[in-house]
Amino acid sequence: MSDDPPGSIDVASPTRTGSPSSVPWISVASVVVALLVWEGVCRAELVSRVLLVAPSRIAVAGVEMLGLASVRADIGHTLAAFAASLAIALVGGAGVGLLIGWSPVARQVLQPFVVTFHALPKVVLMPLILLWVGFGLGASVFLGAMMAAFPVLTSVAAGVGALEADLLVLARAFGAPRRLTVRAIVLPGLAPFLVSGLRVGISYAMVGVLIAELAGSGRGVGHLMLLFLETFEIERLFAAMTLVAGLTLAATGAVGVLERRLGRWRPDPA
Amino acid sequence: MSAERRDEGPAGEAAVVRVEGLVHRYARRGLEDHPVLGGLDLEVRGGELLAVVGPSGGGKTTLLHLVAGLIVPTAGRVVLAPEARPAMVFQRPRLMPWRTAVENAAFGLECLGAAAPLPKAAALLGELGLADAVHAWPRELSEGMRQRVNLARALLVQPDVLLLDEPFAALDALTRRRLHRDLLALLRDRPRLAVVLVSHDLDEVAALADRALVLSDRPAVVRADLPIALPHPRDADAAGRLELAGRREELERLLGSPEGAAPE
Repeated sequence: MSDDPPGSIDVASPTRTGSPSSVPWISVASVVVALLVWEGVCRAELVSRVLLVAPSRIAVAGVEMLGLASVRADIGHTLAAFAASLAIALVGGAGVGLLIGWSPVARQVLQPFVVTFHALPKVVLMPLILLWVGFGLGASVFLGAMMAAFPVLTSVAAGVGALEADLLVLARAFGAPRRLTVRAIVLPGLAPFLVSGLRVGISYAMVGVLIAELAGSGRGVGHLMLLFLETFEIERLFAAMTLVAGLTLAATGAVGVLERRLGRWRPDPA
Repeated sequence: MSAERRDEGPAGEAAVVRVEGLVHRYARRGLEDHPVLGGLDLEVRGGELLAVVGPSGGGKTTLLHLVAGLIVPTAGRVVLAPEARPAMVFQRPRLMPWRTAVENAAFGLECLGAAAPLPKAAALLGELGLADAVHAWPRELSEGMRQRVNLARALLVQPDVLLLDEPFAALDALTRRRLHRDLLALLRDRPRLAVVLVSHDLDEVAALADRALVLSDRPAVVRADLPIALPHPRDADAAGRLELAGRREELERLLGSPEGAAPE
């Protein structure tokens, strides 16, 4: 037994130390070196300026481009479509994932459709989507959501399967009310699966949105890229591509932070 | 250093748990008729620590789950004293990996809707020597510490009967002995608490139990009911250790006799 008087323990200020995962310097160095090599190759004119644009010129073109109201409107359009498709994918994917994970009947009923649509390259639906909802935001959201929903769905269904039966028995043994079981055991157990599905879903949603825009929706960053290609504004084309990559990386990074926060209890937060 | 945890001894207490003609079969595919318990009768009184020993796979855990109300018996019944609350200490600690030690210990209190569960849990963890580990994650705790949290979680709901399913089996000998000592200290402070301890460790049974039930092979019935009314601590001197060895031998003999299974 401890000699400490009980009650002297500080409950209010838990000293949870989550080590902030820092990027190793060697990774930073490798990116810097790659950019320098890229810059050098372009400056030495080893590759035609039409085929590859130096990072410095991309940056200049990007800043210049962001000054244009019409470009900002297109970025806003893409971001809106991206956010909407991700939200729909999250709710729909998690909902169907829960259903499939929990109910064997639902699994047997839905499995053929899930497997078929999961395997199907969603791009083949594009003509049909255009027929149904026409060009524009609707098409982007439709395809983006379709593509992002599946990683969320499969991850959540796997999460339900991974819920520890032992902990559910524990809850029953202590007569836990259903709400407490969900809050204390089910949700924390599912959260990492939901977030990792979301992380994969992010890049899928962006791909779906861009495909719809590239198919000729007339708006958005994808449309801008087509436009810059036609008018041969290669520097702006590179800037638009960089922007899309940057947005997707930022969103993935944000989810990574969320993932680490939710996974503080894990031995090695990935 | 009293022999009993209460002055008058367990005989004066009313039964907290009464098990009558308990039969249990697991009906699984391929194991159509798989009788585990074959008509079990037992009684546990307040303040008494009853050990249940028997062959492995002999239905001891099933018995605890039936008393806890986690499963429904095929036949017979479990009668708890009115308002009596059971609490289970599982074999594996079953801590939520996403909750700290104190949050895990408080879970049972939360289930009851008790006010301020965390300070109460922290106080008991302190009593169990975990004052420095209240905010640690389960993965940061040793197996012995996890079992203390497991024990605290059950004790915090102020149960009338504590069901211990071999909670010390996976511990090394030294940690096990420390936990035995701590358990006895906790029980001294809870003189009316009835305890059912399932164990394979005859040393453990001899050291802790007021009474031991020896179960038969499957389907289990009570083969022997052996009182072990010795004062605690039982291994304080040579005479005590000799008594203890005697009880242990007796248990081993009862467990190993012809119609039973080999002892663990």
